[in-house]
Amino acid sequence: MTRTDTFLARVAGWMLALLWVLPLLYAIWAAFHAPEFEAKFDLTAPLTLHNFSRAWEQAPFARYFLNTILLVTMILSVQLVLCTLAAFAFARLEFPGKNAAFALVLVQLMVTPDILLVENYKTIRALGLVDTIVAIGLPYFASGFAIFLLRQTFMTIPRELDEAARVEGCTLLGLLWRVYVPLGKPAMLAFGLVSVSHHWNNFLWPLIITNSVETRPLTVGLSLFSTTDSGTDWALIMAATLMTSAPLLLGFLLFQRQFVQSFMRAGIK
Amino acid sequence: MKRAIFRNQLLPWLLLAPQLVVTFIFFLWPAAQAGWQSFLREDAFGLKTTFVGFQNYTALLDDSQYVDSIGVTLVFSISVAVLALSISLLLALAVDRMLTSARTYTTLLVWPYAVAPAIAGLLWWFIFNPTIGLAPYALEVLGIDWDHSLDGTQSMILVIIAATWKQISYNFLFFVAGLQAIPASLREAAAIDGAGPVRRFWTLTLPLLAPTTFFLLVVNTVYALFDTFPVIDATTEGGPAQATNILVYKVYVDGFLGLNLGSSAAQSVILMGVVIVLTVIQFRYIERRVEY
Repeated sequence: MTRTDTFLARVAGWMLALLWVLPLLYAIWAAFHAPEFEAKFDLTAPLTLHNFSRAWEQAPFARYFLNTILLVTMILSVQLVLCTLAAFAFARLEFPGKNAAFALVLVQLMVTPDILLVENYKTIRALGLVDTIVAIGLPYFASGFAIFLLRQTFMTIPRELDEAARVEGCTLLGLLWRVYVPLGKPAMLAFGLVSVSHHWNNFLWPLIITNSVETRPLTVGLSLFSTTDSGTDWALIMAATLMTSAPLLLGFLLFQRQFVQSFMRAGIK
Repeated sequence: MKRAIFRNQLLPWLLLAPQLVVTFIFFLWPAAQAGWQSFLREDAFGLKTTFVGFQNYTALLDDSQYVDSIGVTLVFSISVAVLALSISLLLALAVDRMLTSARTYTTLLVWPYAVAPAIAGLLWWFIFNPTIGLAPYALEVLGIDWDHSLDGTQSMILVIIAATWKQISYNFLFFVAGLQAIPASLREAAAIDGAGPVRRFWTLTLPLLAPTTFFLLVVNTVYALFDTFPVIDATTEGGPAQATNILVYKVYVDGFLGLNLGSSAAQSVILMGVVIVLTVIQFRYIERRVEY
């Protein structure tokens, strides 16, 4: 290929990429400038953090942050425990009904609880858990994706290691904790990143099941904030938007490698 | 000896129990409930429930709003899947050629994935806002009068753009991996044989990417059908005049705002059927890939 050819392809690639992140760049522009510069692109316009402090004061974002952090931590820890146990059973034990149980996991991998909204809402109401953070997480505790991913990893662990630990007198839980969990760490990290980003951003189910400041996660809080509280103060809304996405955007910068690997490894969401 | 066998048979189920309980309560039970509810009809006051057989389903298919919603969903999903796949393939082909700056480029492109769908909707709604948005301002120069709150086609374009934008990152990662898996020797051989870049793309790259593309096609269809609720909610709320009322949004509106439980349950069952069909297709494909 000629040099100009490569150069042109490169320029075109960058143009397309820039066009793609333009909405984000625009949000950053609006958030860091006074409202009068919303649609006036003057590079000398003074930068300000005022929009962020205004947004922080006008809605209980601190509480929303706390709720979301509690939520994603809770979901991830329960998922890891439940799915490690199940994945071990699927990877290493033989028992009748195994295939049927695994088929159930595979179907569950695709069906999001969003389709069964009304029925799940009734169940949560019957359990007396409406408007609690636990209720937002409950339907997601059993993750087909985590089981699938961990099972694949566990199956690659040499059986000799497993047997050696048993001969040494390791109990089942000891075996899981000393052999399977340490060796499954990369898969768990990968799953952790996917799970956290999914639940940080999840919207429909939290919207339905919560109705107070004490339980609402960031996505729902932000949606309320942008439609009711602030009218058309876009600088303010963009500041709030950036603020709520910032932890994930930073996380993506730091863990991009693992993110990419986790996608490749599993091939499924 | 007998005890040991007993213990061995019980153990797997003990390990699976917590997982199965959650699956039962939040997947099997509600699915069965929706199935049962879809054969019932409640009167206006919710006092009396009668068994009506398939009436909820036939009523849905007779309902022009539901049929319209199917059409809207088809237009929306196909557009999102096709656009998201082709744009991300272009972006991946571009990154394939620049080894030095690929990292920054990838970070830039992967960022939209970190943005919540609800926020993606909000961002695009802002950009296309008829009074203060940038896009309508630019379109006015071209002589196009943009107001998606009045014009159904424009509102469809808006939700397609927002939903596509969010999905590109995911596809991009897979295409980049797929491209990197193509052996360099193959490309060189094609180049030596005198095949130009365009020809190489059609005869070599695209066929070798077919498995990735097929996998992504299913994933994108599932995304467009079921995960786009927040995008619709933040931009058009299904309007104007149902122009962007996709099936998942309609289930929510009918079940939670309209409180038409029988009809909403029937809609859930139909959607579940679609998901199961797509799952089967997906896993047929994965099985095939594992065999390679």
